Amino acid sequence: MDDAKLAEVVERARRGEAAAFAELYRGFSRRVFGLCRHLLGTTEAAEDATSEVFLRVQRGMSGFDQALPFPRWLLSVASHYCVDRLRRRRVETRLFSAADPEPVVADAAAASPLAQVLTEEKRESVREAIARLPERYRLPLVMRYYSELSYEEIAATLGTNRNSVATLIFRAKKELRRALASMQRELVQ
Amino acid sequence: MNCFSELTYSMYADGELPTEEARRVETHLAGCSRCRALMEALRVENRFLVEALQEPDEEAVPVAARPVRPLDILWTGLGVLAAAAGLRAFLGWAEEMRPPAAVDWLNPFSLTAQLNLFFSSVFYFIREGVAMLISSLTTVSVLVFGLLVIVGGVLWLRRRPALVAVVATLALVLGLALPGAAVETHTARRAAFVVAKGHTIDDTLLFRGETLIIDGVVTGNVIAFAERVEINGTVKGDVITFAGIELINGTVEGNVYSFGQRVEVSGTVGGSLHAFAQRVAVGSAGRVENDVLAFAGEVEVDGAVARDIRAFAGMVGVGGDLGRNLVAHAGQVRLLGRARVGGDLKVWVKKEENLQVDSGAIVVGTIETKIEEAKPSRFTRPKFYLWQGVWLAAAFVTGLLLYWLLPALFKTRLETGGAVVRTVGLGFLALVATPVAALVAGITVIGLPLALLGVLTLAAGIYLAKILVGVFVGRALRRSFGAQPAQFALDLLVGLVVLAVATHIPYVGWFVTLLVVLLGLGIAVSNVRRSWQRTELT
Repeated sequence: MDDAKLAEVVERARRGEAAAFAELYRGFSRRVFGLCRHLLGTTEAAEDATSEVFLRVQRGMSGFDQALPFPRWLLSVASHYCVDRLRRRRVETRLFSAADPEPVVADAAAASPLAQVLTEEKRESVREAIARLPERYRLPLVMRYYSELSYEEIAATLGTNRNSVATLIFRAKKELRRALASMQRELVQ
Repeated sequence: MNCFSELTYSMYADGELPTEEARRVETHLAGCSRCRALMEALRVENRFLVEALQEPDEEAVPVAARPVRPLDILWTGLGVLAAAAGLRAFLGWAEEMRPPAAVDWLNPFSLTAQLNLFFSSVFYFIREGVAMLISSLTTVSVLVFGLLVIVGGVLWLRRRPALVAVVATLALVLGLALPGAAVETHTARRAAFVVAKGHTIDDTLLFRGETLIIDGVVTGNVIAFAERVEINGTVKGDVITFAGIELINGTVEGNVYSFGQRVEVSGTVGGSLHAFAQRVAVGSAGRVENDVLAFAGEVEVDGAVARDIRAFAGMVGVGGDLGRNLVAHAGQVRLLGRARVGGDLKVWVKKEENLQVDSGAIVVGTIETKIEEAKPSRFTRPKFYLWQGVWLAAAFVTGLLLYWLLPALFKTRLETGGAVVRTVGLGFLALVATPVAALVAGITVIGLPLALLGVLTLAAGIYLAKILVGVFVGRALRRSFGAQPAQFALDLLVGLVVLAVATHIPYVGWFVTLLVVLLGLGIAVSNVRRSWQRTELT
């Protein structure tokens, strides 16, 4: 769907046209499903979440601001929903506290960027490693690199601030590098 | 000049640094080759992350899933077999133990004892469970009704018409069943209710309570749920009871349908007596103008029955006058000396000596004794295979049709052991809750069509369960052999054949069948739930 066509379909859906909404569903449900699966972990949960997200989007369609790109708005709604669900799963309600202790002092030279590891790994194992990351790292990472949301948007979804998001993403990558490096060691052995 | 932290570079690579800081980073990068290299690596890393996440994730491994290994299946299978063998051994031992007849009712493997146990548990539940339920029924129903109204309102506001309809129906049914509503005039809900002598109720009497005594006249039908029902007067219509004890000392001009622990007729029943009870007795003064049909632990007829007696019972004793035939499937049949059977005597018993005809008893027609022999294995009869073939073909065609109509029904994936257990649990709920709900709806009379629909749906679900699980099994098998691409028809056929064999394994088959039904129902229910959500979308 090119931009002009998408804008037209979105406008029709905003006016409550069922066929237009169905078209949006067909066009984007896969992408939303992918996001939900990354965030929630299982296919079943992701399927349920996808349905629910589209229900919410349909109801909230009239409030959609045309200035935003539709896919971005859609993925942000989906992220919100998944984070809500994850929160409800847990006892503690605050997944991400604004005050992340532990200052980040990174030495540029000492860092081993993920890219070096990645070239030798299959994508498969990267996805697997991401899926195994703790929730607090996985969520911002997926929102940033799957949904391509801004730090600001991610912060709003997770109920934290921009700086924490930056730190979380940074730590998530470090953790990922560590995990992949150890996976590789296992492979070599 | 000092290098920036890696965090800063990471933010820069994400395009998230404020303009001012970004400019300073750029200036530094221009002069620092080491940081430039790091920056480049970070960018590559970002691109790779985007790519890795975007990859069509059809085959991505979900986190929690631990694939079922062949060894797991082997161990589970062996465990089930061992349990079955143990159970079989125990049953064999129990069969061997032949206790003296006097305490036979204690033997859980004899028909009489089974019926005893069954009725005792049913009536314990009816007495205790229902009594508790009824005593708090008003409070509970008012609360539930209020809750339904609130839920309905919220759903209405959230524009979910389908759910509003469901809730409204529930509220309606409950509202009609609420005490104070509906057919109050001839509904008695007191602990004890007496239709006094000389008093006439000119309509149907619906009673729910502890004791119902009719000394007067009821011109319509009597429907009663009670501990004790005593009819000393006259009922001109039919009598339908769910009662601990039912005594008919007076006259019932219509038929009697009894579900009870004890049903005793010392008066007259103008129609037939249908009884499903632990003990059914027609006393020496009792008279049934038509037939007696009894499913019971004990059937004792000392009075007169104008036509046939058909009994499925642990013990049947006849000492009265019978107009036509006596047909009995029973553990023991005894014709007392004073008995007179106007037609034939036809009995199915396990051993010849289980039919006892005392001297003096008269049978006008023929006496036919059928010994219920241990059936030869059904696997030796060609008919069995013919029927299996027919079943397989029908299930296969139904499965294809279903796939064509509702492909979504077959999309369920059970990735974790937990998911399987949850689905089986859901199936168990559906299997148990539907008949209970149907019964409750049926009691309100107005909910009867709803109850029938529920039971029919359940029956359809049980039939479809094998098909759903068949596809599931077929697919799992194909995957474990690594075969691609997916072929629905082949999966279905293989799965159905596997199930047909598995459900007929001696001693284990019933368990497999139960599991299949539970799992299939669970899959169906979770699918219906999900497809409801989806249809609301499009």
